[in-house]
Amino acid sequence: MSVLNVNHISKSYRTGGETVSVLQDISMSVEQEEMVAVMGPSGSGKTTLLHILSGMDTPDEGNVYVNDNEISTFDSEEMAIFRRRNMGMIFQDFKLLESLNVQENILLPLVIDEVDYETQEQKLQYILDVLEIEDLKDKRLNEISGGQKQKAAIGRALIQKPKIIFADEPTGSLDRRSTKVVMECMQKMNRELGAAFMIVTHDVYTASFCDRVVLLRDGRITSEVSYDRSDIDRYNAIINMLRGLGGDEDELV
Amino acid sequence: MSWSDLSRKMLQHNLHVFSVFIGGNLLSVALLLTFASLYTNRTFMNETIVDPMISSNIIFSGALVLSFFVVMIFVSERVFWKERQREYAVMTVLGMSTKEAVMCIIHENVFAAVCLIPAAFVMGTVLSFCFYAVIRYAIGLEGIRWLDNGKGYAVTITLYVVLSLTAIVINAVIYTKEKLILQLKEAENERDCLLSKVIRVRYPGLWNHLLPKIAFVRLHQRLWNVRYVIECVLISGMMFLIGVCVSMYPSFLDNAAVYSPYDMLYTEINGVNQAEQEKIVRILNENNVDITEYRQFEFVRNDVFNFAAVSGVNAIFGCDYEVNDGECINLFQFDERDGYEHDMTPVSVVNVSDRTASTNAKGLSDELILTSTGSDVNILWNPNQAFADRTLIVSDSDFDRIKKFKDCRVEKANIYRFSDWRNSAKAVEQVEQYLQQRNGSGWEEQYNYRISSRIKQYERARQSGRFLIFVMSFVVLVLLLASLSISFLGLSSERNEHIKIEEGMYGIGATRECIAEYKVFRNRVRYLFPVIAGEVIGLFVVMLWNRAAYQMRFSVVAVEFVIAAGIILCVRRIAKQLENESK
Repeated sequence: MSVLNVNHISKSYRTGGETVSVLQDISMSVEQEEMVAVMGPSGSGKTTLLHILSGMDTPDEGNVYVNDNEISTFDSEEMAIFRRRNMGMIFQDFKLLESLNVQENILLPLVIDEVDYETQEQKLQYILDVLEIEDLKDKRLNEISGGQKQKAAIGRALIQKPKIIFADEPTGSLDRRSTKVVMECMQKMNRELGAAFMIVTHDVYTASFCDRVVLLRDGRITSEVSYDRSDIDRYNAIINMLRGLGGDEDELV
Repeated sequence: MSWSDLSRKMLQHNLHVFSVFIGGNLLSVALLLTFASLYTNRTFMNETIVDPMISSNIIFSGALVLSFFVVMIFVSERVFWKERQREYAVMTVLGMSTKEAVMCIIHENVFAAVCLIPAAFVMGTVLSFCFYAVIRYAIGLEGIRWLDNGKGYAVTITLYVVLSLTAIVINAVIYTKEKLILQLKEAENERDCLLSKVIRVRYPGLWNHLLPKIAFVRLHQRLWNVRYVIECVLISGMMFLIGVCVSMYPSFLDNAAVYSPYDMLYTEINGVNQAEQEKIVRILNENNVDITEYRQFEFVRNDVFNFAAVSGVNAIFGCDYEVNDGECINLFQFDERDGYEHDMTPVSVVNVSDRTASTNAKGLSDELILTSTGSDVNILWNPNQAFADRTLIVSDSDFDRIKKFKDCRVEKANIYRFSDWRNSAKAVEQVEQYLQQRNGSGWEEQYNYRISSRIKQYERARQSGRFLIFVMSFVVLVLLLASLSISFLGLSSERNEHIKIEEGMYGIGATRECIAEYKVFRNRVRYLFPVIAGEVIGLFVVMLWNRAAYQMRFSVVAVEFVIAAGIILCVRRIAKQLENESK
């Protein structure tokens, strides 16, 4: 069953009197419990696509369905309520609030949704256990590493148990070791909570944790490959896929 | 965790954001209240208690304070919203609606404003008392009552509420209109300036030396732009005001001398200021004041003009005017270099008619038409309430004719010169008392015929100059404090950003020594550039103004340079201190 359905969306911007087409006729879908990586070189439209899919921006043409709800028809109030209950967001620079500690940051979506204390406690405990960050819960953000911050951000994105999580370069500011920890953590959450993930990334290693890789170039989907979860060498499989498209992988992503 | 827990935590953490907002508002409200209290003070604005020459100084400085207040409210509101936008944009991504975010920021904003108003009023009241004490005891303006009504408070609170609400509405609209992705994004505008282009092309060696430092500074540019402009405006405003004080104080004293060619003058008319000359001489002598010159001249005035006979003017004031019957000369008693604008448009034809009972044989009212033959700018006698604003010199026969018109009054001006006018204050006061007692007139009646004297004019000019310097110094001090606050207190809010930038530099291989060198360069650009730019702009404006108003007083330039150097040294010293602390 599809959590996300995208039908023929296009987006363009006007800069200096010129119209630049960023996305052209994109159609795709994300299934429940699926992890999808969107890859592509800078300027290929990855982040714009993510913004449109998460309701932070609107397409010029086409429709976006999340859980069979067409989000482009929502007004800002409806979109806010829909987003807080059905979507999670993860950013490259974490976007955690410096004024709050780890557990307070994780609880933020529940506070915004005015969820009662008891439920807050239960959900928080579950997330802390699954992410194995119980010891970090009272720490302030300046006391933890980048990887730990991203774990907290993942916890925040998942605390409402949304149907889909959008992640924009979630490992972009992490080293390889932290990337592994964070991606394993996302994979675990995907398996245990059944949330679908859509991850925008440049990094082949990050993409290798996903079930499907969508390659975007000049605002169009140029290639799409799915991998079996039992495939243990997805990294090389993606490299080979990129090489098969011609040019080297640096140029393509 | 509840909303109130969340708000409390955010409030605690963002106290520096609130403190900048509260500090700015507190200072501007207190300052406005001080000036508003004085402006609405009935005793201060009463011209029988405080000379308008002195009290009018509050208008210019008050306007400056009001402008500062308006700018401060709008800027601090904008800074507040920009700072709060960071957190609320994240919360909007997490599912808070824009409307909820705007309402939350408004609540925080109103909470901060409500907290500061009583404090600002206490501060303003204390400040106002200090103001009053200085005016009363240091400047010597007697008869003023402190806070004689509550209008100052009403004006201040009204202005504050109106401006704050306007700023809140504007910011709320901007917030609502802005796209969420733009709120999240911290846009970095990389722009190449003309100067860097010129250096790069003309002096590539210098460019290569400066390049890493400039690149380092430009990493901070986004944080500084608005503060640069504000600091620059504050410093240039400050320089301008110092220039105004340095120009105007000596000008007040010069004007007092120029506009008082005689040491004492009073006019007499039937029932007012009738005096025995011997008695006046005795009073003056008793006070050790010797008369070196005494003259009396007759003039006629109606509601608009003083009419003086040409022979009288020539004989008494040593002039050589020539006027035929039916003609007149417009006399403007101004100094063109006194720094003020004067209307010196001559009247070409004057119709003097006796509109009261006087009629001729044909039953028509008597009428005299005078045609102007020219004008002259010359100060012949001291200004006095008894004179009309404009003076016409007419022929003797026309003068005799005008004297007979019933709506014209014949007055006599008595003018004196003393051996030492600086010691004549007490004597002049006693003469004034004598005139009042002798004619049995009330104070109000006597007011329009009071004596003009050089000593009074000089004292008034000195008080006015001191008052101007006092209020301007106050404004200057506030501007300097505001500028330094923006520079140095703003540092705390920039510190995290600075650390991030320095970490980034380490990340790309810069050594500690390099970064220390870049930081020294950065701090110089950060602290000195807006100060120097502000000083140059301020100096330029003040010189233009000074040249236009006073044909350039070089003392102004000298004082401005000394003050400019002082500020630069002071700022450098504080910056160095901060540098040492950060090391």
